[in-house]
Amino acid sequence: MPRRTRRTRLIIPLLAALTLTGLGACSDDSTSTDAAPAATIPDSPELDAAVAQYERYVNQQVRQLVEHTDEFARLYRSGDDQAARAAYAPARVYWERIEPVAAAFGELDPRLDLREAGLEEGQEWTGWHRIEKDLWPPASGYAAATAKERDYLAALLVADTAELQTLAGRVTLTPLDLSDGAKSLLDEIANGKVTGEEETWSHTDLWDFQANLDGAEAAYEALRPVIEASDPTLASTLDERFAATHDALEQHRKGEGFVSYEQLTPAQVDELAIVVESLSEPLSHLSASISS
Amino acid sequence: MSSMQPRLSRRALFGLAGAGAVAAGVGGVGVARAVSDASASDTVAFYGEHQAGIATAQQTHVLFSAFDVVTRDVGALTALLQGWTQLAAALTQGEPVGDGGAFGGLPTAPPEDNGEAELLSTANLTITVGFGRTLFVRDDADRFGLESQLPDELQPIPSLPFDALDAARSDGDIALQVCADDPQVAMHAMRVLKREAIGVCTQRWTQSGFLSRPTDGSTPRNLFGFKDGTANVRTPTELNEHVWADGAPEWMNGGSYLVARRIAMTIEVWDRTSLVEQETIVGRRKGTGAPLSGGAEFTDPNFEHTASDGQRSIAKVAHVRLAHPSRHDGRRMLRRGFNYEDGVDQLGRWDAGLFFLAYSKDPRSHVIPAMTDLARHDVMNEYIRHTASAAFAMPPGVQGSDDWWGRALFT
Repeated sequence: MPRRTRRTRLIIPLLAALTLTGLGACSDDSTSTDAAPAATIPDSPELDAAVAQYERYVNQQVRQLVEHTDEFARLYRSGDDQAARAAYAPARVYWERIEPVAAAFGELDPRLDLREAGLEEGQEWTGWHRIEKDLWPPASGYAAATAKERDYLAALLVADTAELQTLAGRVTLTPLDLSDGAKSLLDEIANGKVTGEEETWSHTDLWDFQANLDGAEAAYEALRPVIEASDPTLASTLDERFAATHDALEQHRKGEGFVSYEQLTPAQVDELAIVVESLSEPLSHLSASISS
Repeated sequence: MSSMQPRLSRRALFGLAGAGAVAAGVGGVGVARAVSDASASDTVAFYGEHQAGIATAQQTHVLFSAFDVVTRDVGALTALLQGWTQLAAALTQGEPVGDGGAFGGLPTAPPEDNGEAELLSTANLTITVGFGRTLFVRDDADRFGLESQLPDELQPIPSLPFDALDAARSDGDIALQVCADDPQVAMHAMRVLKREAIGVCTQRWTQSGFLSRPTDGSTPRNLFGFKDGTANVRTPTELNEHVWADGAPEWMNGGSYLVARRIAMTIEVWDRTSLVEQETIVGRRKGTGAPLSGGAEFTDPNFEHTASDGQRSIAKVAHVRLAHPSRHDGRRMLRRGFNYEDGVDQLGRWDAGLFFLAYSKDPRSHVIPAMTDLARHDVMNEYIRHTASAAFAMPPGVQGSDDWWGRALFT
């Protein structure tokens, strides 16, 4: 197992965007004769509008995340486990939709969303998945959190989420954050949700799947007018494959949410993996289609 | 968007320059190669009457993969076959993938070429496509309107005694056989091709293998340590008689049928077997490859010959006797097998053996009878186990840049 959690990877989009915008001035002397042409993101009112639209989306989601997290933490702290379990996946939807943005704030992401499998030796485990395990405990070998531990975990979740809201309100995004972020969300689905690894205890992976997909689509929708002009074939391919992915997921809807990941047959998992891969491939060209 | 890059990569230029050196320095290398004359360069022509990679001088490595088609849209499938054909034409000539290649594209785009073949020789890369029976009919369904084009030759391989087949490693809708003198060049090509297939096909299984050519140009050896391929089909006349399809359906004219078997060897047990027993099982001398009835490697075995003790020189159940064309109405196959090593099993025994690839114009007469005979009688069965099986119709060659793999089948 790699020591780094898969989440650290997601910091790259924002940092990459910062670097790339300055690339025009740098030269890479390792490939002097056929250096990659510098990517520049043209200044355009359309791209500015796309970023503004997506920033509004992020802030909306964060506001809802704060509300739902506060309520979830209250239920967990009160000991109403049944209500807390019911509130878990619906609250996390707002997190999963904007995960690449949230993941950019260094320490916050591991404190909020680290899975047990990603823990380093001696690292304190807090956040959503720590509470998830306490709400869906394994049959044996697990000591339930004490009331004091519950208070601590719940308070930290609330405080960290509040901090996320503050930071997200200040961040300035670039067009590449949208395009790279959309791709990252699909990678998240492929690496964590289709495999059922994200929600080890609650098996609510398909809720996260839908949320990641929604988040990726929000970024794509914001950029769509630009893509439509620069690469109409890519736009129609993406329209078609977003729709196909929604359709594939829709088959597993149950009530307000989805069936447990454990109820999926291997053939159903295969089908989901194929539609995700089919969407991920063209989505990886989104950044290039807004560069020049 | 991006500035155009030169079509020829440094890799290709290097390959052509390097080829001159090879041709001048080691003029005799071609003799070692089976079937066709070795090309003077390290590049095998892609276009032609037959697909390259069948009668082409056998390279030292194979990476074989079967794919399953996951789309129901025949248009998406034919678009993939066209895309694959273009990529294969470029890759086999040492050209990079896409205008930007591995390093010259937009920094915000994923590189179109993976990069690991940069500055490597083209390594006689060949890419050969085949169609499995399930592409035509699966669960009684005519999936892509191809059922009427299903060749009779492409029958499921009957179950044979001692088969221990792993379904996950068997069959498949489409096959790609990638051969090269460098495993990294083969991997690079397969990786590019798989990426192109996303959304249309999934990769069902892969098998890699190796077969090293002795420095003196003699016949390569399998993991039993015996020469393998002594009696192979070689000349154009033999190829026409035994390998190239020439009947119905018309779209297969100039193609060939492939039977692939993954044959695991119980290496540890074989290695505890005495030399004389090994030679008795095979029916040939291990060192020279000569039949036990006498002569040299290429001397025809004399199955009536008796030794001084009155026993037959070549045992009734010797491999060379059971496999010999004289037992099978003179029908022969083109063998293009590779050795493989896939780690160890739970008991620490090698999972290694022969990835047997046999090309013929009709497996029903040229391959399956011999294989069945061997499965029933061959003493070698104590040392081998067939663990995977597949059959594919390998269409004829691509004739030019407007032609594509399977065009005659789909149009």
